[in-house]
Amino acid sequence: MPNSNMKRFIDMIVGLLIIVVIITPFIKIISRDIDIEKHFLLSNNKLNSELKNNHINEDEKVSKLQEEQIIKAYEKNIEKEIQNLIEKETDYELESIEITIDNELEAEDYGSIREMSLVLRDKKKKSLKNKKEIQVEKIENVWIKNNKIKKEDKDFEDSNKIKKLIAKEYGLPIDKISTHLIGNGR
Amino acid sequence: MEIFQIVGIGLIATMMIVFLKDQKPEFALLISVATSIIIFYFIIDKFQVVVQVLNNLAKNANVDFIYFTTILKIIGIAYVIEFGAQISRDAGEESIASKIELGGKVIIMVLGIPILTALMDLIIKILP
Repeated sequence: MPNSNMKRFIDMIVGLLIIVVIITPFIKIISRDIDIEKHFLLSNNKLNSELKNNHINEDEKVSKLQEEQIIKAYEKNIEKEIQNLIEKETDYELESIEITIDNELEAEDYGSIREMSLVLRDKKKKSLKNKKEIQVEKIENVWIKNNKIKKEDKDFEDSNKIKKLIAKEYGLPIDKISTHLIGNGR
Repeated sequence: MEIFQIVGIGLIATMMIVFLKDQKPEFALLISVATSIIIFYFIIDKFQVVVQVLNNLAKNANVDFIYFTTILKIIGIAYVIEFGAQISRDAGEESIASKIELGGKVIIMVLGIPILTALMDLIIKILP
């Protein structure tokens, strides 16, 4: 870390971050609906938009990039949460996810989720597959080449349960959530 | 061994600056700037690797992306500011160096504002 009087400022910010990291678990115990990251992102956005208003023509690209980064981080967080939720509550694991977020900065419901599309994988099947890979690796390779993994567009049996789970957690209508299962057709 | 190259370049530049300082002080400054840039160029690759490793570590440790990028940004800004301020100081422009540092401090504070406001919001919400 660079020395000189700059260090004091760095220490201050790092100290703030450490306070945030320390109190987050306690806050989650006290009230579950408070999300510090959401607060952080919102105030970051507010600051960005204020700066943007000050220099409308200046640095438009940079602020756009920052906005994109914020939305990316937001999506990543949601992805992590859903991953944990699905792994905890069901026998599936999240392979990939596509989230459509309201990204109009001026809109009232900025940051709210519009649609969600999940690609899931059966945990049991995966563990079975891994076992096979350890025993006869070559045969497994041939199998992958011959049977390309397909997305199953049809709803699978637990689809509704997962949809309801996510809908309850994020307050989304069920028809805005779609789920696909991969590795189903063997 | 890049360390020998870096030290060698540094020593040669120092000697050149010492010889030139009396006759042509303006060239001495240019040499010091060029040396800093060359040394910076040498280390930038290594720095990239370090950042990559830190990034992976943060990912594995489940550290939040936002916190990690904020800290990295702040440290990066501090280094760049230091680099610029030192060059100005070498040229004898103490006042410009302090202005550069002031700019860096303000930018670091701006980066810290979202954290501070988020923390304040939380504390206010928790209070009965």
